[in-house]
Amino acid sequence: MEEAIHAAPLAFSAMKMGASHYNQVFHDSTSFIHRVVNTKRLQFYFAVSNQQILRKIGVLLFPYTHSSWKRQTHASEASIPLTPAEDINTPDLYLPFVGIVTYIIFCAMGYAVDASYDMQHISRPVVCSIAVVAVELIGFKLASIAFGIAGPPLLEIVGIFGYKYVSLCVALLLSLIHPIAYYMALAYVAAAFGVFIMRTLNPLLISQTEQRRAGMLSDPMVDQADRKALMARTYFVFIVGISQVAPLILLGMFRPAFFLLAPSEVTM
Amino acid sequence: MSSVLAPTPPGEKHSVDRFEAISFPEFVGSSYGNPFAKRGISAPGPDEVFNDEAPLLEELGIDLWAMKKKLIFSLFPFREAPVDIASNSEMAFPIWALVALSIILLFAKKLVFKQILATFLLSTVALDGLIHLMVSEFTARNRDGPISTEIYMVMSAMGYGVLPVLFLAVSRTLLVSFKSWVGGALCVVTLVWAASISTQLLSRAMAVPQQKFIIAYPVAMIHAVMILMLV
Repeated sequence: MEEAIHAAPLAFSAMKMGASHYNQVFHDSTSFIHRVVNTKRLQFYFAVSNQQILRKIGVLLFPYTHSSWKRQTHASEASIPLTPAEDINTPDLYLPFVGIVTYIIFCAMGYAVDASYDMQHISRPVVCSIAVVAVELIGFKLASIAFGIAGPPLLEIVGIFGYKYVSLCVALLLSLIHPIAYYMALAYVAAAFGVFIMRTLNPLLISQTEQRRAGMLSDPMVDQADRKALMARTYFVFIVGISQVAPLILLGMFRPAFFLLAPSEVTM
Repeated sequence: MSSVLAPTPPGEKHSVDRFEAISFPEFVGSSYGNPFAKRGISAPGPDEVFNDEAPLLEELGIDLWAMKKKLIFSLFPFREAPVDIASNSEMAFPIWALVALSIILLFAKKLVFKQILATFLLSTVALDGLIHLMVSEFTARNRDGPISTEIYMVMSAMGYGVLPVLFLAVSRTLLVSFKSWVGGALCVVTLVWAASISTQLLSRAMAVPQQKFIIAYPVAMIHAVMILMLV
């Protein structure tokens, strides 16, 4: 092989790339997992980086100062989607997944310190979070069909609605201090997440209308229909944002009764 | 030529072969229960012993040099790990460490073999899936060739993070009561130490320094669950 490097280096690197591509395609087409799940699409949503995660958590907890909520496109070609590491407005799946796992472990850990092991403390949050994710996904899809909106793809919907677990974990952390602190944190988190989801869904749903309005001059009939559609979609986004309070309250019910500063028992 | 394990049928002399250095008593009747009966191949002498077989540790797959280098790295994980020790899959120490951890906890009257081994196995497989999703061609757009996430490499990295947990188990069993703040501080130190070992090894092997802290978080959660089992 050494003479191939010296004789035609370009051909050698092409050979290497061809071999690796063949290996990957062979591996993808014969392995069991790749028949069940579309790994490439999932990998796109998991391509995150440290800074992006930190910024995203900051935007989740304080969405009031974030200026641009539109999804950006690639600089040179518009058809390549930007990974979550490159564009902060792309929803990723890492943060919701880790948020759900942290939420479950948090709910179970408060009882672990007492050495009282009960499977309920793990299974109830698991079932509840899976149910909440499924109900929200189905509800959003049905509502977007009812409103005639072409919503974002399935995995992005899971990602956008899954961010609430991260804010919920922050509120649960504060619940360790005092029961009242939990309710205050929950109120703040519900408001912040509502604003976050309203501002995230806005560019995704209303962009069609605004594009048409920007393109056409004022035609009264079209303008009327556009305005009604715009109002319908704005109400839809508003209702989605307000209704996030209910899952947050529901999921928070599984938190352990474990306080550090409350006047009742202090274990550990 | 009969095999070593099957006795030569009665009446048949053994064939002449090169392992004739030591003379054993002749074969008489059935050879079961008779340790000196001559079997198909007679016992080789000390010079011709197992010429075509590898040394024992190599056959078992225990690489002592890699283990030593990885252990020395585990004691001080705060510098960057060399790639050759990060990407080798040395499984002997993790297996030993998990069993040793369970045995040490027997002194504390806790029977946790099943819990520790099951947690380690399932969470490492899940972490391998997560890493396989996170480290892909999208992570570095100018990567050449596919990235292979080997499950044993991830298991090895997580297994060397069990070393601090071993120290913690020893101190819990023998020295310190965990109800005081000293025990809590020791738990936190152990968690940080174990998580940094595994994260350094993993992020160096996958060559993703920009994802180090997002690998560190699930790794820290897994080690925290294992530490909670011994509290």
